[in-house]
Amino acid sequence: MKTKLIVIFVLIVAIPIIVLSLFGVKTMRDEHEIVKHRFLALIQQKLANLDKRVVKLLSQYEKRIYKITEISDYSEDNLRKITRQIPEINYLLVLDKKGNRIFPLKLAGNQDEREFVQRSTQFAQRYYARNSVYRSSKRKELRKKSATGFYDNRLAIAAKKTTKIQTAKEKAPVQAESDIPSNQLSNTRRLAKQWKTENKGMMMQTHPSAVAIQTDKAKQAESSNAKAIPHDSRPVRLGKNKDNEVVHNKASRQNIGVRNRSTTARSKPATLLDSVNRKPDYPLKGKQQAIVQQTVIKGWSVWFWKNGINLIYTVRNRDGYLFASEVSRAKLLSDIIAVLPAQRANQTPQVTPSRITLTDAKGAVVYQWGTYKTKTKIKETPQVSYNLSSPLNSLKFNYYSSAIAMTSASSYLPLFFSVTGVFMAILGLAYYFYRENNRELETAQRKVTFVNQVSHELKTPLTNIRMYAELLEDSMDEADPQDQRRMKVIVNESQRLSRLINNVLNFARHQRNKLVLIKSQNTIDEIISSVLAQFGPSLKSKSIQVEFEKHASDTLMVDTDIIEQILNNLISNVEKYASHGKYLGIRSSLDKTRATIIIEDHGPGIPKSTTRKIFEPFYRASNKLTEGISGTGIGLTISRELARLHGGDLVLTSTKNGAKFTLTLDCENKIQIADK
Amino acid sequence: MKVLIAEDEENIRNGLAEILQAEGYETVLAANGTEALSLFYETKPNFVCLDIMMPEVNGYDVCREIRKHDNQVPIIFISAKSEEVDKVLGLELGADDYILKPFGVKEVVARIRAVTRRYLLLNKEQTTNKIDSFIMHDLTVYPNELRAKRDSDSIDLSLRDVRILNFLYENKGKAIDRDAIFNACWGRDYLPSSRTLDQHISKLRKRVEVDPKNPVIVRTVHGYGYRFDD
Repeated sequence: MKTKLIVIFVLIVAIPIIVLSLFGVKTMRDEHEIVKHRFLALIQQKLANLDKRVVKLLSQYEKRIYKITEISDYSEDNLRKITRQIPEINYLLVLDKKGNRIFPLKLAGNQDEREFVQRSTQFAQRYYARNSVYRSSKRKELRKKSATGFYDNRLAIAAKKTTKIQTAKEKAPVQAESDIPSNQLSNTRRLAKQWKTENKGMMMQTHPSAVAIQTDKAKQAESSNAKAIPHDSRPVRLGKNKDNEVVHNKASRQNIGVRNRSTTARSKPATLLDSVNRKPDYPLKGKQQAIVQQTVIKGWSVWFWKNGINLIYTVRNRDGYLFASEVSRAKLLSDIIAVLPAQRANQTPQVTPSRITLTDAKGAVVYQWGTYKTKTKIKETPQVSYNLSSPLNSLKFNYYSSAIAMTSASSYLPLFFSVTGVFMAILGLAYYFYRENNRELETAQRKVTFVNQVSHELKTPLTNIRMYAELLEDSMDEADPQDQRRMKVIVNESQRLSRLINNVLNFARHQRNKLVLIKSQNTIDEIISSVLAQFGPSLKSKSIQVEFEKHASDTLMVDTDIIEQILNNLISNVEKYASHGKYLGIRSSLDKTRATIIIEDHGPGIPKSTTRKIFEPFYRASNKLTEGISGTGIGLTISRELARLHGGDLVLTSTKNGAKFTLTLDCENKIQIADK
Repeated sequence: MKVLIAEDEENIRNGLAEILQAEGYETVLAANGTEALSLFYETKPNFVCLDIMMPEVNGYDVCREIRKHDNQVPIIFISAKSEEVDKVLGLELGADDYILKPFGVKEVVARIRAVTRRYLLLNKEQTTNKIDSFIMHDLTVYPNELRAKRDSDSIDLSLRDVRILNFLYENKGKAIDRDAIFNACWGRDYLPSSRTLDQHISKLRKRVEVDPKNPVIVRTVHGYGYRFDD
């Protein structure tokens, strides 16, 4: 029992704690995930803002370099002078309309410039050559042949989609390159990176997104009759021109598509004019022809050289001259670093230490700021990485911090303390109930012990009274009848007291579920006769007429003591409460193993309202009925419990005159006894 | 037969002694467990009546100690402890019966007779009754069973009843005076009173005679004693 209580106690404490802990951990994990995502989003936003600074810086570069192309004097001296005036560029290459280099012409004494010219001329001529050989009919074939075409092809598809949108909306503003769905752009960036990795041999990557086809008269052309403009050269907005107007046409789309693409192009060198004046896939008409001739092409290209990225800003001006400017890598990096936060950027104390690094294409740290340092020697993984926008997408921001990890560890502390608190509270509560329960059990046990002790103390004098009374009665066989009657009274009363004590004890045992049957062979009629014999003198003294109809003489296995005690209580009640009726009727019957004993009297009876209550412990009928009659109120209670223990019941049956109790008992017959 | 009665309550002890003596037993009385054990070894009783709640050594321990030395002697617990576990423990320790207080005289007598019967049947060699039965007119007496039978009716007899009937049977046809009956059936140490014998014979006749007022088994020899005529 004690073990059972301990197990229940442990379960009461453990189950809520386990449930609470699981729920708490799950909630904390969810919470942590949300915080982590928010945190990462914030960092992404922060890095995007830094990227914007770099983009802004690059646009300033564009503007400065672009000014070079607006000159009218293409003499070498003038171009060299201009080149020296702009610190953002290292070298400049200028090709005329025919693709002939017009600057620099004098290369003696400067090896770097010589190399630049060598590679850039080749690049520029290829550039024109590709533009000139492009044929839409060969598009599919080129796609298949060109390993590098995938990147540009995607962009072409993106541009094509944009064109379709424009066509569908009929003259509605076409989305700029920057308006191309971000997922497509991110795809192109990713693919560009992939291409770059796979095709380092090519050493060149053009940044098409930065390419814009510009025309001074684009606006006019757009506003003019659309039918007058050839289908091929119909302006389609894609990039922004200097007037903040985005223009793109199909021809330019083709240009975008062929860059870096065709090996066929290499086999057929072309001039600049080829690209401008080449015959389109469809006939050009009128003003469209003029627009194409006046188209300005500009854009960034990435050039891998000397273990690093070199940016080439290419512009074909309105005169058809191609300007390829190599940006000073050192200058660009220093300017980028200048727009980024200082290395020892002040961090407020409550902010978790962090570090942001700027790494190049090889993963080498170019610049970093922040105070966070890793404690382990293991190569740390950045929590957030962010590639810069094109054409600098080979550069990457990496964010390092212990913030998320610290959040993860520290977030469980409140949960731990909460669970511990709840655990202590439940433990205390459980212990309180356990102690209270124990106290009640101890009190009940003391009560039972007290009853037993009192009963035992009563038994000793009662034993003496009963024993000596019976001895005396036995020795008074032939004495005076009056003395014999007196002795009978003593003997009967001592027997009644014995019954009372047994009732109290049985009631106490019933409270502890300790009543058990001890069966032996006997007949119901003999038991009834025995009880009636005990009550004979007292019933006779009260002139109560006894009628006993015997119909249960078969030998059965019964608990004689229990049946005697039930009958004692019932007959005792007749003697006490129904003596005025002067009648006690007992009828026994037997149906196989089911014995029934009916005891009735002609007394005042029991009110219907109390027919149930009389079986409740300590209940006694109305004062009028019980006045002046001693009793404890447990006789019928214990009688019914004993009857039920014997497989039967004791019920009060309604009758017109007096009270009628029906006692049923489940017994075993001879056959069953024999079987046993 | 000698009975050891161990009971701390003096009145109950004496009352039990009176009942047992009336039945024909010789009694040895002990007021506590220690005394009971020493008297047991000293007097070698034929059976023992033990109270459980006794000072010094309780009834259970006395029973346990006795059983270490003697497995045959009948032991009856007489106690107010009415819990089932008490009864079971007592019987498990080797007791032959368990009588609850407050007890009726008839109940005690009946139980003691039952135990005595079992004892006598198991120890025929040691008893004085060498014969299994004897006939007195239409009554057959079974001394070792403390029982007599007439037709199919069984009549319970006390040890003393059997002794009286046996003594009369052995001296059938002879008139036996009161002193001889006392000496044979009560013992020489017993201080008799004529009333004791007359009362006992009166109760015996009620049990064994067909018509107690016209006895044929235990006939009165006026002014002398009693006689059985075959």
